[in-house]
Amino acid sequence: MDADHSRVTTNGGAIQYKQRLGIVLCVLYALVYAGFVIVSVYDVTLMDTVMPLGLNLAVFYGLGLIVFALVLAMFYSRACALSEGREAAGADAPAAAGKGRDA
Amino acid sequence: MAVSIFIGFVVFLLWLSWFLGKKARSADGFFVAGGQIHWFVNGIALTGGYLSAASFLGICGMIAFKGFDGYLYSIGFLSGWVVALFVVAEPMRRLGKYTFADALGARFTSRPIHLAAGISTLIICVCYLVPQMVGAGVLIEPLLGIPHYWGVILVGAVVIIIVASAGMSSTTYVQFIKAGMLITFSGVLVAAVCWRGLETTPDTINVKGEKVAHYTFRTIPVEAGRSWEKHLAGTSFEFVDTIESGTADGSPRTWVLLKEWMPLEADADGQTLRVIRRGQRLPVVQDPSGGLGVDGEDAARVLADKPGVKADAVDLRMEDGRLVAGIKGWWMLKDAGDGNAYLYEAQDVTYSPRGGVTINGLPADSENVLAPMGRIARFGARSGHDGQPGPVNPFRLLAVFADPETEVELPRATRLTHDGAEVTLYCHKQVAGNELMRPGGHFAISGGHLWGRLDFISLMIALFFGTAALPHVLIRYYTVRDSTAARRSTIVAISAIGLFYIMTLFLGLGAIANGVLNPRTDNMSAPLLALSFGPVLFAVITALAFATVLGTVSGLIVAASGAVANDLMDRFLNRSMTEKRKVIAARITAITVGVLAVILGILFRGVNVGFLVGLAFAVAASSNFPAIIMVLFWKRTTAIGIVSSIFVGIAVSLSIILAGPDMFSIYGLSRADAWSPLGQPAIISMPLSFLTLVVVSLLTKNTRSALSAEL
Repeated sequence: MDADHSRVTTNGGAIQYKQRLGIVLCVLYALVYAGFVIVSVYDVTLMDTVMPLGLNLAVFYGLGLIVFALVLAMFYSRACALSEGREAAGADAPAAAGKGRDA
Repeated sequence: MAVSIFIGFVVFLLWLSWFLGKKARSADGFFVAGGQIHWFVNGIALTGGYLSAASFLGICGMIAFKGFDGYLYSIGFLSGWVVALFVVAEPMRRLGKYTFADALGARFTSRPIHLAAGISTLIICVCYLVPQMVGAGVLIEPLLGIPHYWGVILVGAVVIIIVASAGMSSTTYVQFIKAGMLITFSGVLVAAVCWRGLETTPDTINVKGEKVAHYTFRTIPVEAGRSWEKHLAGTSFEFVDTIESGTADGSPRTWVLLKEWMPLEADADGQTLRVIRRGQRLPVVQDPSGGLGVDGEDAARVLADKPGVKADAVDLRMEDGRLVAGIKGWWMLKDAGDGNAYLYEAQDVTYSPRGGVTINGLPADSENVLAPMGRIARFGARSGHDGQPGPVNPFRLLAVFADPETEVELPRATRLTHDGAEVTLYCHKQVAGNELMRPGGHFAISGGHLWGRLDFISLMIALFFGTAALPHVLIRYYTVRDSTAARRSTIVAISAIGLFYIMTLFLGLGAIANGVLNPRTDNMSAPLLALSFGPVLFAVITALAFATVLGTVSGLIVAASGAVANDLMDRFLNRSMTEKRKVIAARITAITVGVLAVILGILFRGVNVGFLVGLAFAVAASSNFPAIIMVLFWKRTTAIGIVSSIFVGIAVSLSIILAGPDMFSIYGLSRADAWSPLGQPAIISMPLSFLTLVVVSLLTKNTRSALSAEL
């Protein structure tokens, strides 16, 4: 079973950082997503509100959720790449990885 | 022409599959393509596996028939990727080998876990396969002119050949190419919709490529207190019968059967007398000997003299020296809200007890089909659209639809029994723009509808958490070299899928605006929209949708085969199989699951495929998701806890789905008689599954050391 763990290429620091970042971003997204559901259930006529570009709130929020997912995904990817790069560069200096984790 | 483009495309994919499949002979190659797929290719292939027929056909169709509620599926399907990428992808990648069960097995070595995971993978795969098969049948029907079930069987056969002969390597590249083309051509179609613009009487094109002028369904004003005979005096209509049907809100609706006397035209060869209706030239009287005459001849006398001449299902009589046919048709009586009532022209499909089928009063055949429905009936003032065709920018298009004064007409079906015949009536429903473009068209979330709201919340939960738990999505995390590549793949997939889902909104609304809706099935809306731009685009889009089905189905069957070969046979039954025997077991499973999916696909004909996929998500979110999350993030999870939660999740979610109102209407029963008032299970089954996992894990914590000892 342990053979599988040989696939791990980075050490614990970057893994923990990525995991925590991922959960934070996911919760953030879930809150915005829940907002959409709550507005719809609370009073669906609020979704008629006119937003910029002449869109109604339903379409604006819906498109926004898709774009927001993209933005978060790119941010996450960048942050992970930076963290992995930092760790690779600082392999001789564990303190650097530690700092990265706190950031 | 259309057919050859279609066939060419499918043959190309089969060749590609065979060519690339030659490289995948070992077990590792069959399941995960040897871990050698580039992250970008893998990302687009993920897109291909994820953008199933449901995404393309189902969402566009539901938007076209129900408005924004179809788009909820787009939002939910895409949002699910956030959970998959941020929370599940990386840890799973570090743990996993082939399947979801292996990821669980990385922490526990427990035979029951493999049993539970194998079974849940199989069930979710079958739930997800059914809508793909339904979609395949719907696609083939108009293009090749073959019945729905042949379409389903054809897809089943092709996919079984692809999977059983080649495996994953082929499906990755097939899905890569298909997803790329699907996104490209959807973009072309969206641009075409915006370029053509919006009008109230759009012309269209039929499957043969002939232009058909827009047909506006008629209305007849009705005054209270006057008899039908008085109303219809001096018109070509004659009153036949009236009948009431129930509606969703409980109030009865009156339908009126009228006979319309329509003039007949003879073909040049004198063999057929036809009625010209809605751009169709439909045969009413036929005489193979050509004795019906053409001009000036007394057709009635000819008819009387020739016993071989046949007039199908209609009455004939002479009127002002011309032969006319009395053809029956249904009209809906409805208050227009301004104090006046109107009869609205409907269409019908009638199954007589003697076995004949008529459409709009004439025998059903390849010529006599239902006229396309749907259109924008009125443009609101707020959007300032003048109703003239011509380029409209995409945001403006959405704004025009969302205007409260904009009125769209959408087809709605009603079933009733008349004279022993089963009649399905299709009539337009007028919907205000603002209602179309906000949630609530499918789910009753306004007013006092508690269950409608719960269904809506439940669906949004299932879509959000279901993605990360789908077996055929997870398996692709392992087809790239490392975590970084897996992450990049997922981001490529999110971008491509997000772009595609934004386009579904335009395709669904475009299908309404261009008046192409087939009232019998919403699943065909996107391909029919393409048809309104010409048969070539139709063939290409249909071929792509067909390929979408092929790709998704093959991905699912590979996942199901893996579950059986690795989890059930190798691990649970403890048969230490050789690589070669594993591949044989997987191929036998592929064939079995494929055949099962074909049978279910035929049975579920006509149901919106996006809706069916939503149910697969609900099962995945209820059975696999709690297990994945807790294994990754809760150290006290026990093997027995996982097994219990998976079985509870499957049992509860499937029971609620099968006993819910949506399924009852699919069974042909009344929604009101459903055993469960809830149709979407996730709001109950997912928390219940989590709860089971936690409680059982805490109760069995002492067994943890025993399980670890097995390692």
